[in-house]
Amino acid sequence: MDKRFKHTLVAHKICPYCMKVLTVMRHKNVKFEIKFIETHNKPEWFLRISPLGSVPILIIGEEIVLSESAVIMEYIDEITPPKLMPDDPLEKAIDRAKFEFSNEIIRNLYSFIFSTEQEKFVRQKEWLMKHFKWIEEWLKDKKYINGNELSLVDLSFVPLFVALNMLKSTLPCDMLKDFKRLKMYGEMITSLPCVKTGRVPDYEFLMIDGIKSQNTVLYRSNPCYFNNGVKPQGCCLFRN
Amino acid sequence: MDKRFKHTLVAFKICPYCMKVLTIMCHKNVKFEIKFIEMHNKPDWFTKISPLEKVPILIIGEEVVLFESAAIMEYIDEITPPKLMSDDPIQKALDRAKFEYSNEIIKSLYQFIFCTEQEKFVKLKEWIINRLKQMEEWLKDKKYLNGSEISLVDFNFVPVFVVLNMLKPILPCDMLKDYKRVQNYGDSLTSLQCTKTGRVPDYEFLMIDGIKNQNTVLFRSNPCYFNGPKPSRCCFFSK
Repeated sequence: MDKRFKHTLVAHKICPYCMKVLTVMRHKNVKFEIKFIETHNKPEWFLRISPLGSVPILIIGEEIVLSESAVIMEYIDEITPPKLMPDDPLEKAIDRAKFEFSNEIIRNLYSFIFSTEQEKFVRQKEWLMKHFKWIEEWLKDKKYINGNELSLVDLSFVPLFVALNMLKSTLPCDMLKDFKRLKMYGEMITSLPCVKTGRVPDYEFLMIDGIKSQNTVLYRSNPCYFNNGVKPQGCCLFRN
Repeated sequence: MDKRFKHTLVAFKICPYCMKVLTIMCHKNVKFEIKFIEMHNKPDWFTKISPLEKVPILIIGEEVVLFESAAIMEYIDEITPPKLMSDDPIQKALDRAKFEYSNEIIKSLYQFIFCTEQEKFVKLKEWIINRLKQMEEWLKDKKYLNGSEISLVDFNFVPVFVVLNMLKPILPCDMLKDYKRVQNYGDSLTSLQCTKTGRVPDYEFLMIDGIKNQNTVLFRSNPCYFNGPKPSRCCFFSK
């Protein structure tokens, strides 16, 4: 293969931003290699080439390094027509803003999941509900965020629903119970083939392991699940 | 004027991301109105329309709300040809990544300025200097990041240099002293017409006021400046 066009994705196994890129690359059938690195033990070669030391990065050929998930996603979209991103400047801008919104909500969700303090846990949950309301509004009666067809911005929300699905068995209540459109949207997104093929196989295992080993509020509120796989019946933290 | 095309920028006075958008709008001669709001007292009408309750937001007409400085900047660039952003997918991607990089530098610079703990202050200073080192390499012998012509990515770094200029009289040492290319680059950016016209008039005053009344390391290390003349030395910077 022409080495100039070789794509190498550098990622962490549970990184949701890497998951976004993986999903688009699968959806668009891009040939690529993947290199997993450790969050807490980043290799020298990586720190030399990643300007902010963060993942994902996409190495093109031998020298070009792209960083930032939204940037990589748009690049992949552009080199594999037909594009999933609109051409209209205003629509593009609205979608790009939603990319950042998805980053915020995902950051929020991960903070919630790995929170070790109850107060912060409750605050993050409230923030999440606020964010869910916005997406619920955007969806109206549409199948995807921009209508009947999937667009790039939808793939930005994949990690949100993958993580929420993983949480379902951990929490006694469904966080999406008041958000019907969001629930349906999530089900559709997670049933896309690229979401299944674009997943790191041990994602759930590593997440559950992290929740347990970091002595998170989630773990402390239902240790039975994390030790025996038993779904909790009630959890005082979720009384509303 | 056709209300459908009215542009209203909502901003905080000292917000550097708002400064980026202001700069590009002035550079591109876009007609717009500006509404300043208070950071710690956001009005209801604002939180109802801004999904992340952040600035800047650009209201187009009566209903369309754009948020995220990078998204707004690219939109402004696209509706006012000729574009300052490249059309090549790789070049665009490289530039967009630098938009985010500039956000990180700016975030750290503001944290440094308003830092109240000495240890953190020193760590932030080192981090910022490492980023300046990286930029020195990127610039090579070019006038701007992408060559001799200005491109959209350069506007992202305007707040970095506006802030560094503001810090010059406060710090005994020049953070850019070892980085000649970055210095020249900064001078090019801050001497652009739009950088001057795109500035909130009381920006420096509000920043200095914030540094003083938040009892920051900067203030504590040279209270005389904030009450009087430029310091001749500062123990935090002795190397």
